[in-house]
Amino acid sequence: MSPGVSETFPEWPEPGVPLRPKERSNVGELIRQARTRRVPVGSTGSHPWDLSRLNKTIAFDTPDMLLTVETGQTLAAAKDMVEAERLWLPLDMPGDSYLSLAEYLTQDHSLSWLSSRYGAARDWITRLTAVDDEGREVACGAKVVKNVAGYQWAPLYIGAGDALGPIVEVSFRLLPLPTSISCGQWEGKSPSSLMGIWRQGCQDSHPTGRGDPWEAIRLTRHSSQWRMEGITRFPPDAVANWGRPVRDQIQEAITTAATPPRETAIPDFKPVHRIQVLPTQIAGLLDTLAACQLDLSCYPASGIIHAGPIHDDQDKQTYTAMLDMVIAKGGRVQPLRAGAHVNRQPGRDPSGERTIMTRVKSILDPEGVFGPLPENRW
Amino acid sequence: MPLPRQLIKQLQRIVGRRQVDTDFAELLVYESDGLTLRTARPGCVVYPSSTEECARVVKACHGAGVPYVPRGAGTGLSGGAISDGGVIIQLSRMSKLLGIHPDDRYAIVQPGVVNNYLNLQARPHGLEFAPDPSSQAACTIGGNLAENAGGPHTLKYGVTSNHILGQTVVFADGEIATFGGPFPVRTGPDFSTFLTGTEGTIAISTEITVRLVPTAATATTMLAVYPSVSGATDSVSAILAAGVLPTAMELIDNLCIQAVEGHLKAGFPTDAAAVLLIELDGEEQLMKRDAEAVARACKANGATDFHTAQTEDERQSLWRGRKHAVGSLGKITPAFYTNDGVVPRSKLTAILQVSYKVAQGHGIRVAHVCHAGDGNIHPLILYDPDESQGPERAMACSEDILLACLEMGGSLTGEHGIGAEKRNLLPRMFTEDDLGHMLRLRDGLNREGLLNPGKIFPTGAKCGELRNQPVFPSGTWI
Repeated sequence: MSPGVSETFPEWPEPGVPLRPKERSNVGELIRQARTRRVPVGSTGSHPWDLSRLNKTIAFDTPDMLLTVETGQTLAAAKDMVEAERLWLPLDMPGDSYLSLAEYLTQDHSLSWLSSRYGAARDWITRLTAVDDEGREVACGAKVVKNVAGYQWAPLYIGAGDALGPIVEVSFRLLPLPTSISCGQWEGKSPSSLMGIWRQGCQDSHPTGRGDPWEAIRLTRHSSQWRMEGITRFPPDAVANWGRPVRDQIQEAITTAATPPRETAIPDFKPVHRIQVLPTQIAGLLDTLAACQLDLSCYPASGIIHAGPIHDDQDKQTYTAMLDMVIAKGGRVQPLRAGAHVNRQPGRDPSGERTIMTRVKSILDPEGVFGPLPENRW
Repeated sequence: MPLPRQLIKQLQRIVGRRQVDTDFAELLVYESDGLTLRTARPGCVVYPSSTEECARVVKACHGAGVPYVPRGAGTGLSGGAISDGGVIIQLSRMSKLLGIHPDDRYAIVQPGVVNNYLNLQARPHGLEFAPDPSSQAACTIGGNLAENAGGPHTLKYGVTSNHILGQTVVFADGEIATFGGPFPVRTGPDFSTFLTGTEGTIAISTEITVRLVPTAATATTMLAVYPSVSGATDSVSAILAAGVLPTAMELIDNLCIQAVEGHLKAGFPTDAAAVLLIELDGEEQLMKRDAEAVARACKANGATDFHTAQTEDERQSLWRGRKHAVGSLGKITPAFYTNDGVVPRSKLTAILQVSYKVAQGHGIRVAHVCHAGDGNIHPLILYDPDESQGPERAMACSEDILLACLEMGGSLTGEHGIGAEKRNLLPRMFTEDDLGHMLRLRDGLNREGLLNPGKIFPTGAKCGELRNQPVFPSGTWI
């Protein structure tokens, strides 16, 4: 046991010390103790969870294409395991090698370059087990690929930052591992030319012009360099033809891979905001952002931009005005760091999610055994 | 007991006199949904035309302490939209398509929009709403949302909850709220997805934002014919193991084939023990490779004939056979009971063997259609309602099959919902603590329990009461 890290807790640790249960049953014991001591636990409470020791693979049924694991396991480990059996969990996040599934699920990391095609984590979870405010394990769903029995409350817990209780076990449905993937990488001077290739791919790949050939797509700007990366099941010669007219001054590399590559981390990129708009609004937003000196990562088909810190004062003004405009037009700006600017009117909750989740919190955790709901989710 | 006259008058003031039905003959229509074995007569039916009217109706019922039940097209198969003496809020007047946004791939609809109608409007834009339950010609998006409906093509495209982006709802106390929006992916806790599949027990959806997906550029449909049911079920696992993800893999057994061919001549061989209908879609070159893998897998598992539809007409004919398989049973039996259970895919062979054996034990016939790729079985239990104990035997047979699904690690329902039909079996699937947690949510969000009472959870179950619930003997249906 690490110094200060508690296990069965004859003495309760100092605030800030993570709770690191060794066994599943310890989670409930800790919650009951916290309840008695009136100390809120979880990432927004006095003691964050460290569930890394609860990392068992409970069941991996390859013919049924289902995986059940404890959430101390990392997303990367889970993906490695299923890919070894020619199966695929179509979830990703840059730099996922260190994050436990518990953190991945509760801390709202489940968007990736795969999201526009494959959705988010909630779309792949068939069963989820959490621990409630009285320390009891509670589950919803089933270990089958299709099930509508009872309430599927998993979507309330994903992204709720442990505020409703820690997630300790999860079952995922899986897909056959795609083979013969084409990988494209394009670099250019402006986002608009790269976006042109993305759009042309959508148009050229489908007779109606409304295709979506990309398994994954991401546009980044790092150290002033614009780059787009995409993977698709279409053959390389098809990819090479998409957007031919808009390819002036674009460097491209189209390769093939036996299996889908994972989303890579952008070096030293720590986004400050997640901006969400409609896909048709992305291009205009990127043009505005191009005028500011900042790093960013964009999932164009999902309408998501993760924007990095900005240092120049003039750029700050442009950037802040853009955030306000996004909010005014019905988009979402989610601060990813404490103190990040959001021009939110007090009490304004256009999506209604904050209000209802506050109500859910009061139903499932009336005594505040767990920390409060994270402020930055809405 | 009749509804309070004052409430009827209040409802008439809200929606107009003609939009409140209390006539005995009219109410008969609302005695059941698609599950005709369960009936209950409502006190009245009210037809709101907007979210605001719906909220006022709910407030009026809430104020009068009268239960109320939202209802779509009544095609549900679990008795989820019946009301014993309460108010049915019939959403069929709320059937406007409020907008299609093809470039951002979403549509906003009222709950009474019929699934097929939405697709008819979306297809000219090269888009469609993916969930395609067999009742899609009649069922509504509101009903699809309430039950988290699936359909044959959910193997690749997912169920309704994967395609709902946002919704405006009326809560049990009449409060209106909006969750989610048109954005293609969701971040943070997601109340809208949670609501999908809660069978109208927490809120009534009155405006729904749905995701539209590109229609398949090309699709190919194959028919594999088997002398044994196990050959077909084994092929399902073999196809997926070959790395192919079809859009649909549908199993139809002999009794169902007989009914289909007697009714509409879809092209299924009547001497087959089972056929597997497999559909692929996507890029032509990839599809060709996958189709070869599918053919190999089917033949390796005993398919005596393997045929690819050569024309769109032929393809449509095969699908007509599948979509009308259940309805065609009317040609060979006076009544049947449609069941819905799920097992892990690898247990398909075993559960179908059990299903046949169980039916034999009850002295009745059972036909099957299965969304085989999902492990989702629909045993169709044939019975004669005029025969002594006919319905009771059908229900007992159904329960035995469902319990076998649970024993194999499966679920009580893959797409029809629990409704009133299976509520007393739910404690067989979940622990007391699991159910207690769900009931905390229901009781916290539907405090008086007036919104769609008696559905999903065992009758009378309140948070904390579940531990005292009796275990009902096999065959008991309350």
